[in-house]
Amino acid sequence: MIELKNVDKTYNPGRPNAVYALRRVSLHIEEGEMVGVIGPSGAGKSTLLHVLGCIDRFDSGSYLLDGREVSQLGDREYSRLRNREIGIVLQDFGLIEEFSVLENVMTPLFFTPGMRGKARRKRALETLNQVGIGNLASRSVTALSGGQKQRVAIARALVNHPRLLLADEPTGALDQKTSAEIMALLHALSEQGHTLVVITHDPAVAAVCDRLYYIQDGTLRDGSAADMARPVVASPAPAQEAPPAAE
Amino acid sequence: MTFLYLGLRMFRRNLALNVIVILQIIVALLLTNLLVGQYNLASDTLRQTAGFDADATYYYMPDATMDTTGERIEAAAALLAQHEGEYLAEQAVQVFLESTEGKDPMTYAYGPETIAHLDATLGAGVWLDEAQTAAGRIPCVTVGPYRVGEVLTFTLTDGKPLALDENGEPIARPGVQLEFEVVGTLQDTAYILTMNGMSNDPRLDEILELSIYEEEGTPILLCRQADLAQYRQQVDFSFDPADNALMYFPEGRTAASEALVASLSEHTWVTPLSEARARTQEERSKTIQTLLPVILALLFIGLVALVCLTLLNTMRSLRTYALYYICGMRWGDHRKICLGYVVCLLLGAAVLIGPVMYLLGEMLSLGELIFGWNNLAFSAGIVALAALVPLVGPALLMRRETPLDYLNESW
Repeated sequence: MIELKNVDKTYNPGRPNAVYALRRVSLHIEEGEMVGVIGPSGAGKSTLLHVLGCIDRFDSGSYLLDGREVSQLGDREYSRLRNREIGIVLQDFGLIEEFSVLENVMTPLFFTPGMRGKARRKRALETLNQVGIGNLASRSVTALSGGQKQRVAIARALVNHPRLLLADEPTGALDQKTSAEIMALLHALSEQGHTLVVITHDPAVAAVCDRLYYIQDGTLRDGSAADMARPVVASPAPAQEAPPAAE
Repeated sequence: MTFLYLGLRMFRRNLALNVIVILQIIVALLLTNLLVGQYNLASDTLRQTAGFDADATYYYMPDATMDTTGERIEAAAALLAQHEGEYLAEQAVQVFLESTEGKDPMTYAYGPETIAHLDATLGAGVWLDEAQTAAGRIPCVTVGPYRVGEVLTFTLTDGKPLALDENGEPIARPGVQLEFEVVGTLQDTAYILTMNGMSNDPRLDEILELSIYEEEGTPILLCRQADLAQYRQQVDFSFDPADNALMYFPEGRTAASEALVASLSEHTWVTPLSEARARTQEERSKTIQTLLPVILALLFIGLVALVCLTLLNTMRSLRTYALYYICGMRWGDHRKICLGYVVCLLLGAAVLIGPVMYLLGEMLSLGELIFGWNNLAFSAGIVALAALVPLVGPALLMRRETPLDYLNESW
């Protein structure tokens, strides 16, 4: 499903303030796997997510998504991948406040060619029901609890039936009980065949992942539960190198 | 449609400010059309009279002497009689037609020189010099509810007040029933050559009179004097040869013609058509000079407001754009959303301009303006400016921004 080989990503290349965010990163994720990425803040987790989510381009190396070399794709194809193949869940939910719950979930469908009004609504409602909040469709997102907001964010990520779901600290802003509910939902999605990559600091989240990767100073390696015990803030030197607002 | 919808959502964010900008666009459109309509009014009189030899055509009007004794008018008439054959004087003779149904039309009969030189503002059909009708029918050009080809029946009368019999009942006027065939129609708002000017330094809009059929409701009928001449014996509609008229000199401007005009000027007001044209042009320029700075200032303020508002909306929407981006929008497509937003503004202006024009119509005398292709061109220009200029700010702003800058707020 996903194959990264020797991927490098540098911010401000060639300048004194150059930041080496990813250094020869390689990983392999099979379809249907639920993989966790752990590591201290500023280690490159977000950059990795940007690259995997086709939000940002990388400098060198190879990224195969379903056998296609992503680096060779143009802007249009990149957007198509973000729209159809990849769903992204953000830590702060990333919801549009002036939109209703339904409109937030419909957002990716606005950019899906051939998807008309009625079909959009139908698909969005189905997805809201899938994550258990179909009854909130007409509500304003500002009136929702944290757990409900995260479900809306997950529904938005799922609405175009992507095969790859990327979640950045999906439980970071939630209490323990709600976190458990969200993780149960993500785990259920994984069992339904979705491929999940979850960035987390939360041992409970890491515990439900099939595999873990650990990233530090832009270098990725296989991780384990023991890595969760490491400091969540990167060591001083690499932290200064990391992109200022990367995490 | 998607980008129009997303633009609408952006529009709804600052509804009150957007309504103010819409009103600014409407005011700019209204004022511009007002100015262009005024310009068209003056231009219409200039265009209609362009075929006259302005230097050798004079307009004279004894009424303007305000001489209650009539002596000077008689002197003018005597002078004209003395020089008969050296000039042609033609009037817009008002004749009286009575209708059995509907309103009586205001009717003017022109002489051949006037018909040949006047370039009337036709809406359909042909002018009187090209008219061909069936025998017995009098060709006419109309303003009003009539269509080309329509045959109208009127009674030609002397137009004098009705006399009463011994029982106090009105006695029917003598009259001749005539059939007119409409060969051409003028536009509903049109200048009609009536030669009714009353000032001693007339502009063309005093020699030609603005007729607004929609407001006045009186139809106007124009015909040839020659077609009515044969009925003069039956109905007295003769006119005073020294009355308001256009005087033509077939030889052009000569020493003899100038001498006659100089002599005539001692008894009545005589204005070369060239002077009337010059005054009209001067008035037209003055109108533009007065209104143009106001319109430009308003347009400038409106555009600056629009640019600022679009920029403000874009800056407030950057995070939303970043979220659209992760949902599959191309970053450059923010321009389409901005355009959608501007289209919403313009649609708002289009929806509101009708009621606003209706409400302000009386106050701004919009009915007394002539609207032409240049109104459309200037309005389109303003709309294009309002659509394109506001896109420049966001485009420049977004060149420096990437979606990551706004997603990283949470990442």
